[in-house]
Amino acid sequence: MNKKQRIWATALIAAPLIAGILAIGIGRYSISPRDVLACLFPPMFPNADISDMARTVVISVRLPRILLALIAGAGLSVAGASFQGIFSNPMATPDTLGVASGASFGAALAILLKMNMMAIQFMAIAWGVAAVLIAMFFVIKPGEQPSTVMLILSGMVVGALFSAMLSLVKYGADPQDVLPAITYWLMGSLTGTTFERLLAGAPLIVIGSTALLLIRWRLNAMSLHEDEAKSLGVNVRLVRVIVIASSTAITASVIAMCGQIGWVGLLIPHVSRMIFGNDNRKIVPACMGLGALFMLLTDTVARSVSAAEIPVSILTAVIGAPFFIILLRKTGGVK
Amino acid sequence: MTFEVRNGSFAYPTGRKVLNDVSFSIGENRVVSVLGPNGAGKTTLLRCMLGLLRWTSGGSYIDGKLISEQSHRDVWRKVGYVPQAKLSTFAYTVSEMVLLGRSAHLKMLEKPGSEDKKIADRCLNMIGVSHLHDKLCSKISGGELQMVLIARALAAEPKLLVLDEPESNLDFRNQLIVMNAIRALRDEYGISSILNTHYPEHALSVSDGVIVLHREGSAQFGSAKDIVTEPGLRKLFGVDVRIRCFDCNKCSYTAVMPIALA
Repeated sequence: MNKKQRIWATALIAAPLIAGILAIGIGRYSISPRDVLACLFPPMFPNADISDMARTVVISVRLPRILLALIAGAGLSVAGASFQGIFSNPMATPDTLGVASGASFGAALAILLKMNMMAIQFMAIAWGVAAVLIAMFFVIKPGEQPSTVMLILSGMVVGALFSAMLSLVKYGADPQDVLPAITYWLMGSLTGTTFERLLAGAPLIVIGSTALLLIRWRLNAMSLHEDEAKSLGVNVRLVRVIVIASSTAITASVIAMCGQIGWVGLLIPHVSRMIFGNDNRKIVPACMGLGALFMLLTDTVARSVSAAEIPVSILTAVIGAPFFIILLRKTGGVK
Repeated sequence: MTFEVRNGSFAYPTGRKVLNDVSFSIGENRVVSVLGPNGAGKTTLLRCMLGLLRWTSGGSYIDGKLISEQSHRDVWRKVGYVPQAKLSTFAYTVSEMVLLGRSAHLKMLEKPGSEDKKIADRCLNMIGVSHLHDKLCSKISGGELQMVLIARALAAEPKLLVLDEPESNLDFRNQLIVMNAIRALRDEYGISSILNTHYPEHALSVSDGVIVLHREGSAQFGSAKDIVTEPGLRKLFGVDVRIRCFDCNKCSYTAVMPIALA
């Protein structure tokens, strides 16, 4: 690592943490950064005088939500970058194998059946994973390696199938209360994040992201033609399985907790490529930092600019698109 | 190291036979060319012998051991594969690309260290393209990319290189650069090569042995001089050719000139 890279690395770790502490203070009930720190690390501020109200807002309302924004943004971005690598396709997103459609269907079905929050979360993860397994099952023949094009096509077909099933659920839902609940859920929101829900979903995101972080150099070889990757001595099948499993776990868990959040998994990897080049040794950690930061920014805007919350999926596009275009013009695009 | 193919046959699941009972062996310090018309299965032969495609019957051996029974990493440390120069979806820099050649020496979660970087730089040097180090693979010429891919294969420190039409799509100068590199690797470093080529002249100028693949799938293995003859090429390509030798600067050269369709 040279000096410039070290500065970037430090910035990418520090920026989401600092932004997170600032974001905790922002909102309808505003709290100064000093008081936020006093709530988070009481031993360091023995003289601070914090009201119970402020403490509750910081610890039980905003902290879990901000933690979720950070890990969800990091996770989705890393999952997107990894899929782009193994499918050697710059248009790949975390949803390429149909996980988002499957998870959305699972959640909508759970809402239709009037299940509680934890059950909705569980159903979303289960159906997201099921969608990917079905997509893989379609193309696996004994003794033969499926081509990535077949895998992508199969994912699209399964995605379409689950979208249709989602429509069916919506069609059958009571338009008075259940349908709006499903629609609102699908637009994505981090409202009502509790530590309990975070504990149920976050470990999968953390484990998946760690696996992708560890295996990141192999993604370079995976993005070459398959024969080339094999001839470099890479166990193509094993890396592919690890990446698909990790990305699926991440994406299904994020959707289960936040609803459908588009764009992040496509946008952030390309932003990272424009800044850092295509080497996945840099892209993967850069995605984590930038993804966390972007999601935090979006969610903070979502909950603080108006009295009613704005759905996150609207903001990821509204904030993301101009940001992307400015960067595209400044850097001359992905090399 | 000796690389051998024993009675290799390959047929597609549809039943079409491509390769029929191919046998050859290549020892150290050797260059072998594979000649044959389009569609005779030259690329299939390379893929089968490297285990990228499964032989229907027969097998490939390294030092007498079946390669399908060895681990991927063991095989790819002894054999380097140089594909035809095609751009990858994501453009890596030359140094990142060559570093990928170290994959077979690293465990799944390992990343290349400073020693690997040194080896990669040395390979770029060996092949004479170290000035490209920081360039993007998408911004260099086809000939330069081919040399980079050879350097990448060398980074695994193999005893044998397998090259798929390394000089096709290249101009005269770059063809010479690639052929000289293959010769230099044999003469200076003792690295053998097997290469697919469309040019009988190249087969004659660099190779010690030639494998000829006929369209019906049969193969012939012998010395270049015995196989690359006027009647031989007429039978192989269906073209009347003249082979002429001449001397220039105290070296003798052989020219192969196609005259007419046979």
